Amino acid sequence: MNTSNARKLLTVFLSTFKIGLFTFGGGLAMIPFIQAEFCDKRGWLDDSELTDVIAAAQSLPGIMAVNTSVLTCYRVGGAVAAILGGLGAVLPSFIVLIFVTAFYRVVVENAYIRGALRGVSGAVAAMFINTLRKQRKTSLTDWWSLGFFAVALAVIFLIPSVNVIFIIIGGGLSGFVLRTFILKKKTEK
Amino acid sequence: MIFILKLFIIFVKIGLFTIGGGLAMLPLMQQELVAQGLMTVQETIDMVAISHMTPGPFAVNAATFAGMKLYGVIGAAAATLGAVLPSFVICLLIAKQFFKIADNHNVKAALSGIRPVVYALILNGMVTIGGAAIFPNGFTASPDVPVLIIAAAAAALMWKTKFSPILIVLACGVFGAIALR
Repeated sequence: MNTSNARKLLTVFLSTFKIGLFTFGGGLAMIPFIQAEFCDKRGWLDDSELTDVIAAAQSLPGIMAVNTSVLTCYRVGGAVAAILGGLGAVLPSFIVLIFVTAFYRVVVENAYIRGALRGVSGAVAAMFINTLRKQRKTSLTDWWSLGFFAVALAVIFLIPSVNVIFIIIGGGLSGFVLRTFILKKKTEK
Repeated sequence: MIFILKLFIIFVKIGLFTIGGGLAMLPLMQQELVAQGLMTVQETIDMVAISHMTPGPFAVNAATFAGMKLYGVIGAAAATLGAVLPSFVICLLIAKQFFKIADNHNVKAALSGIRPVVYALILNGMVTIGGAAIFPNGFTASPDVPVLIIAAAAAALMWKTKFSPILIVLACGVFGAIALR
């Protein structure tokens, strides 16, 4: 293994470690950070690839944050990067929780920690706004996609008990039917 | 040793059946841990609270907490390893095919339907996670004004400046610890 490859693997590990350390709320909450680090800063992934990874990570069994890290890092540097990236995403939680569980009562009742958590929660809301702003171009490409978006949104908010997997599969099937059979003539012209 | 192995297997099950969000596996955790007499109901409530207040994925936090409470650091390692193992195995198995087939035009057609749906899911995450932070007592109650101001300021900084988002999150945490305690 050459040095530039080793350095890349180390960067992958440190990136997901950093993301794991600073994301509160798991899978969905880490998306804005993955986007900032892997797409914007490093250029390892483009925005539409990230959207595909998110869809796969949510539909597959397993912990979404780990799925997202493993798939993203696989794209960046293969199986070794995927394992390192997955471990990087999990280790901060593991280390923090060991200590927090050991000193549970003291930590939860500490006023400074509660204040810090409130501050962080505001920043997390801002991260979502940031991601939505950036992913708009690759996700909402035309009126059809806008329609898909509206229908999905209605389903998610009106019937919260619907499994996310069915919503994603529904979007995929409708997209396939629409582009392959209904809109095919238009695109061939 | 048998107990550690049992804990490991419980969390492999939990990790495997967690689909689309850590909280979805809470009923399963209750079944596996409380019904088997490993944890009390109060301990699972503590587990949920603490898993939400600490960084990282809910399932990993909960696994580490449960393992640590039951059998110390070795228990924590066994539970966490169990919880993440299905993710690693499944993703490594499909990763190679996943990026290969993503170029196929039928798959592209399907993805054109999936992308706007995922965008809606992210928006849902914004409302549930961001919304719960800004409106801690529900959307009909008044917002947590300092958190709302922090969110607005952070969003403006992310949009208009090139500061790293993680730096902005850290700054909000420090500000919160000083001003919101």
